[in-house]
Amino acid sequence: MDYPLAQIALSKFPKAKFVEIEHYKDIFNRPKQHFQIQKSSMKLILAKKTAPFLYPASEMIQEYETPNVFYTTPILNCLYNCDYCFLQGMYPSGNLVIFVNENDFFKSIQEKLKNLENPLKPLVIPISYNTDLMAMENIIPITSNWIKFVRELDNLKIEIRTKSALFSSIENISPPKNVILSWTLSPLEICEKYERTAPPVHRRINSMKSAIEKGWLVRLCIDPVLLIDRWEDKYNRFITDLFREIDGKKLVDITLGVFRMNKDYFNRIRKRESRSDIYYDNYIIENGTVTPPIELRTHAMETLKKHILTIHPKMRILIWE
Amino acid sequence: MQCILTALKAESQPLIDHFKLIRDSTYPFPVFRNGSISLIALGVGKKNIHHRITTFYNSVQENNIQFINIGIAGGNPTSTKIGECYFLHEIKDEMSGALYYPDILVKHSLEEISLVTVENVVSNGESRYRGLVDMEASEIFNVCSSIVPLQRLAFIKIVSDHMDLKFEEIIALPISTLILNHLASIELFFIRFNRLLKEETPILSETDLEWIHNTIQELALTETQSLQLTHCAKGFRIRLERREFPEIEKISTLNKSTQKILFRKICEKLST
Ligand code: SF4
Repeated sequence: MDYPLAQIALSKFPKAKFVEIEHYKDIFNRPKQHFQIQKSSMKLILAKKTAPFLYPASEMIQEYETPNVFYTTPILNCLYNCDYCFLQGMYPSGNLVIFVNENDFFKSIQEKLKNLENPLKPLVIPISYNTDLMAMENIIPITSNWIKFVRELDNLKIEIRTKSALFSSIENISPPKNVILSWTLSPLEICEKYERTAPPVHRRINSMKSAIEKGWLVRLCIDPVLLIDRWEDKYNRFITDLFREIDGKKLVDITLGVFRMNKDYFNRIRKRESRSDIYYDNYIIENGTVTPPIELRTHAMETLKKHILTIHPKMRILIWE
Repeated sequence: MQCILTALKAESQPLIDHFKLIRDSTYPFPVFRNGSISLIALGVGKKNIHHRITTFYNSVQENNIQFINIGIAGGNPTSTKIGECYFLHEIKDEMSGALYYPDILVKHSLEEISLVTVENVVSNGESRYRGLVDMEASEIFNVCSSIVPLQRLAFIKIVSDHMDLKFEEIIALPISTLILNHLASIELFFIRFNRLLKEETPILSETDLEWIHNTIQELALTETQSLQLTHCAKGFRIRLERREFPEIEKISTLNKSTQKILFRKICEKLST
């Protein structure tokens, strides 16, 4: 508990009751927990992570044009609770684990940089893969600490994906060249139905706008695209409206992808009787991934790509296919 | 259903009176019931706990049972007050060293504390134990967590002494009054805790399941089709809470292709 991050977290909850435990898994990995009930009364677990600190990135993540892609987990679980989130199927618990030994994460990255599979390409690390890191920034400044750490490292890029409206918490940091802030946005109907606990989309857009204005590298993620009733109209209208608000030319790129999930996670969520209709649609299983049938998803991705390109013909679009 | 677990008669009595529970003599040990609340008297110590709880659990039709242990405990004189009511967030079994962590999932106004379950009454343990001591909680957790999920367990303890009394002295205390003083917050907790059970209600009702069963029979669905039908039915029920499932078309000659067509039609109806 002597770690600075632990002290900061503790200071944010002066009335909290602390329970000392031996290992975070003694609580987090217990069988017979109810993920969703715990989500409505989340507990914060402060823990020290042991190696490994980097994991090979899954195929669910869009292509980064480098073999050196790894993800890391400074936090397990998320403050938000999107219906389509794979974390529900990945973790046995809805509680949040924060790893407070961030220097060990940083050291492992320095080591990795010395042993890259292809040293000519950069090491890319999505650091907000199993959480929404920026959403936690008011509680614990992990995002800003990572930004400060990577600033001086030439051959490293990090991506911080978020649905938060908390850009204000890092806006005083000058934007480094190797940090991409990625906002996941969805049409209002999707946000209201499937992302109820995340900030409203207009607040996310405002945060994204501020980041662009301050000179940050910003990526737009329309991912997952949910093929709901009249999805075409809804997503196309959303994209048109969005580009009236933000300057698309200033985006690094856009990532698109339909709903997809590791089959085991998906089945676990179904078994837990998720109350989201997403889990009772018809999908196919392709290489262990649950996803809409190929014709549907290709059509969806082509439609949206075409629409984006009519507005911004030069936009770089990364697609999960 | 909510099932209260107590050790002493003096702990049970105020709860029996308050919830108007009536003795159910079909059990060879004291069980009291009234509608959705039951109480099992376990006696002092661990010896009867497994038998009584599992006998009760196996005898009731209900799967959705919450177990709530309510009782007195000895408290550390510096960290606890006599008469104060606590929620347990950690239970240690002194003999085995096993640690258990009850999930605290409802808002409450009580203090939270840890407890050690001991084998014998502690009458000189003022400095040995940081929180509370009792003689049952760890075994209750151990037994109940093997039959129900963790979110259905809760532990409420009221400090009766500062670990400086002998057993005869403890049972001579006004234990019922200690419990009575906290009935209001205990009852409020019961109401809030009960709401969690609703979150566990299955998506499909008995009637829904019957419709699925009949459809499977009538259309002679394969195992894969049956599973798909169940998923479509769940999606339908989530979208349309009260709507009845679609009528199944009657067909005199059901062959492989008509079966497939009918099955597809039903799934489409359920999905739109
Ligand atoms: S914001 Fe991302 S990580 Fe958090 S719940 Fe939603 S999908 Fe999951």
